[in-house]
Amino acid sequence: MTRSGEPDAAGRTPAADLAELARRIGTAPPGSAGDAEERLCRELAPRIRLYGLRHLRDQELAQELVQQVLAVVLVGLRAGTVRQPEQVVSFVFGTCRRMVQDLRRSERRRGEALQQFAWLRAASTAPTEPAVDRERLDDCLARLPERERAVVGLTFYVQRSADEIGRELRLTAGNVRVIRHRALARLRDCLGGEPGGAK
Amino acid sequence: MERCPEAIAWPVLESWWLDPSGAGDDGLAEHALACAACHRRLQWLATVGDAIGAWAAGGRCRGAATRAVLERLAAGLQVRRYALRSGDSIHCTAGADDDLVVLELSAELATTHRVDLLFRRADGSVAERAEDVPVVDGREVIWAERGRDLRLLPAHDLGVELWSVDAAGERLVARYQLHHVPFRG
Repeated sequence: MTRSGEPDAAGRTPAADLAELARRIGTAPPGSAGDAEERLCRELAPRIRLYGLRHLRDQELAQELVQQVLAVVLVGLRAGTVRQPEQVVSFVFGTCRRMVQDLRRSERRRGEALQQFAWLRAASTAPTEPAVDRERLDDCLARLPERERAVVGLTFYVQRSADEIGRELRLTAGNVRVIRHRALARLRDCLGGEPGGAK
Repeated sequence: MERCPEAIAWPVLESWWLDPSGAGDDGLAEHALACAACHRRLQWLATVGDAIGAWAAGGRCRGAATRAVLERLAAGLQVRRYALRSGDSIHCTAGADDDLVVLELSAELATTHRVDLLFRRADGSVAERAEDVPVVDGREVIWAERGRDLRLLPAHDLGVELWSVDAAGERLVARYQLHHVPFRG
């Protein structure tokens, strides 16, 4: 258990503590909880970025989503419009969903709220995951069976779904998912195990 | 270490991340925002996925490929391609600027269960056997070699064979002959 809002030993803020950070921002005079705001953004930024990548498939738009969503969240917390801090993740999720729709409609729209928080650009682009060791990855990929390596190549280099890969290789989509899962499990083991160290 | 009491299984996360379909989307997306452990799994997928994309785009890939991968590679890299039919015998090389040298091996493979690709030296010994290579459209195996590796090789002959493998045994389906000539630019 960590003190509220403090990162754990692995450097991550437990989900329940996000609510505490939100509560501190909401109850402090506007702009005076900078430390909590930064910490909340540091924790949420990589998650929002992944949500954006998943739904927008574009690095720049995902970065833009991070900044816009965090700006809206901070404005909402400061203004007290997020009435239940324990629901901050739901608020973030709803904001993500709405803004993804907006970004899809007009790819480069920038929210006015963003201008209030220029420092969010740094938070949204901060590295969140150590880079993969290139030589190690080459070695791990070389060890994969041919079919598995072909499937991961189609998946990540050509951005093909299981359905599309199945059509090219005359496999069912379910079969492709199994092959892909095995390949990724082998890569995880080869690259050092479960992310974060948990097994 | 924070653990997720409702951890989403890897296959579900993979399918959600890699096969956009919309099914079950909202619940999983909200969970990924809330849960540090599941977020780290997705982050791993994204990071490794980017690294694999860079691995292929940089011409570091060697081995069996598919038509879609080959066309994508050819759009960004210098790719020397040799299209062969069963029984063909060709001279081949790797040019100074070739990132990849690709064999496109045609054969009748539509009814095969598993196909192995075998490289055989001039003395008949097996240099390498790649098992269960992907077959494209039931009629082609595509194999990529890195240009930088081939440029180191002296002149030599190499047989390439496609074998059909099933419970009853194995059968030679197609054979091709390569005469490698070092590039003289």
